[in-house]
Amino acid sequence: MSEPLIYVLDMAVFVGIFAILAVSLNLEYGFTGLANFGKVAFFMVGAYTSSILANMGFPYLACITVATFAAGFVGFVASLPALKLQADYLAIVTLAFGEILRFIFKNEEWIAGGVQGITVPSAITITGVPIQTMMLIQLTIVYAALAICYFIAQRVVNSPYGRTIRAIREDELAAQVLGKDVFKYKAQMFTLGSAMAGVSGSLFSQYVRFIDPYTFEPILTFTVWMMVILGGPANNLGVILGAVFVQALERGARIAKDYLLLPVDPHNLRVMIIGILIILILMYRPQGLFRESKVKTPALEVASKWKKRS
Amino acid sequence: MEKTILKTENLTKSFGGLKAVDNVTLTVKENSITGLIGPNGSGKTTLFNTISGVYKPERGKIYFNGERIDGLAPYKIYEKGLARTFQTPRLFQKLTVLDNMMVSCRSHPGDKILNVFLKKRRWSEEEEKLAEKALEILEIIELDRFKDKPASELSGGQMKLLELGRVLMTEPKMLLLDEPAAGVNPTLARRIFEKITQLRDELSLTFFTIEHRIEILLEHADWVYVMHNGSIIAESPPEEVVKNKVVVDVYLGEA
Ligand SMILES: Nc1ncnc2c1ncn2[C@@H]1O[C@H](COP(=O)(O)OP(=O)(O)OP(=O)(O)O)[C@@H](O)[C@H]1O
Ligand SMILES: [Mg+2]
Repeated sequence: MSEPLIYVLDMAVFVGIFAILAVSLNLEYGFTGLANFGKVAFFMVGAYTSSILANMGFPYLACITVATFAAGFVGFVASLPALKLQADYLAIVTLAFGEILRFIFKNEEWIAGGVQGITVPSAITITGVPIQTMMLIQLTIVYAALAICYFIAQRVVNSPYGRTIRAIREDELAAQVLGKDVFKYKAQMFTLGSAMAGVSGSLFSQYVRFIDPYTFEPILTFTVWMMVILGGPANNLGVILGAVFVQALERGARIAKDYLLLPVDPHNLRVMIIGILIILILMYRPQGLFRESKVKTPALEVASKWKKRS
Repeated sequence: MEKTILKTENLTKSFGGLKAVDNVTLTVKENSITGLIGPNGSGKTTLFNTISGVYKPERGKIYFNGERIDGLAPYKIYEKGLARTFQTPRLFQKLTVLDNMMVSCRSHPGDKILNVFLKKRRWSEEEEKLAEKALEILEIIELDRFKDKPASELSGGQMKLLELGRVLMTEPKMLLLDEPAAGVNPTLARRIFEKITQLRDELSLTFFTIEHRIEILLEHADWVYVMHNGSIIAESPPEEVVKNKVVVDVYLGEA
């Protein structure tokens, strides 16, 4: 396989991993209105859990399953105090939570090597295949996971439940008065979103094969936010395309750095371009590239027949 | 029409030094249309906010169907069958008119996270039935044409109507309506009160209604409370309220 092809495959894997994060943040922020600025924390829990298990010799399926539940559980526990807070405070608290968790992994060497990080053995036991084949297998697994997460997210948002979480996002007090136990819905979405981030973290660790605390800095959370805001909050397909777009920019900048001679460091250029894009989007198209998707339930069909009747 | 459905005892709620609701004791009879009138700022909305759990009362008790409900979360009070509307509509702006209606329905099987995955067929059937019901209510309040519009695009009066339509989806036992006819055109305002009376008769609902459009309210109410500076200053059948000297002084004015 030629080098450019490997490059494309590599990018495709990263797009998939980040798209899962974008879908998970979309459930929390786009649909439920929860400003989770600690996305990386749950990604990190997934990555570390999966890596520790892989080092103990567990197969991939076990690693990713346990990582998912671990991240979901941590999300659930973190949500209990955090969701009692108002929106702005939630953002600050989740941001801090991610950093605290990262410092724990950094300072407690016995967990996973501290600052040294840990190498992650492949949990896929196929011997003697060339690297390209391994990449294709990775790619398939990542996209299968993305497909499942997308399916779950779509099913959730296109249901009466999905309508309720959107209502909570729009007006929490009105939702309460109309009988919704707002806290319960928020905690459920936070847990589900965190579990998905755990899936993504597990896939990531198996792909890069080495993780350390510096992998999980807050910038990772912000990258996912960019994907959601650019793509269009409350549109699952939109945020996946947002992931493609942001990744392409990031990769493009790296290629430019290697092959082009520019007066600015292309890596910084990328940050500037994304910054400018975000400002432009927020000014001229605050709903993102894609509009909020409708709540697709059988009610739509009933309503369309009604038009003909009257 | 004898049983008491709602009762407050010495209910008090203040903002800083201001006693917005001051030692209010009142009862609402089951299956009645009870009015609540009084000048601007007399505490009517605050009283409703306290009864519906939006504010916690500082003092006093609230009984609904003989059960204490003061201090309960708003959604728990809703579950007991007591629903309310807001004076300034609080719609779910980005949701469509129809979704605003649908979100308000009581105990939808599809509103539980596990059922979303496990019981799609069951909730889909229920969803269709509820959509029919929502559209029928929308037709009454003349909003069915706008069913697919986001609520944010409605006019002020239409928002008011949707606020009312939404609460009719909740299958309540009793409704607290905060000025349901404010900002609504005269014919529709009348129709709203006719509908309220009809719902009271057909579904044995109870209504406790704030309204400044006195002529319409008095035509339909069975009993009227008058509030002033946080206190109940009078209560009587509607035809007597207009003759009450104190009420005329503080609220109605000389005709
Ligand atoms: N959230 C609040 N914070 C502080 N003061 C408030 C608050 N809500 C109401 N008040 C005050 O309490 C008093 C009663 O207000 P309330 O809204 O209950 O009046 P109202 O009888 O509903 O009037 P209107 O007929 O104009 O709707 C007013 O003096 C108002 O300024
Ligand atoms: Mg008021």
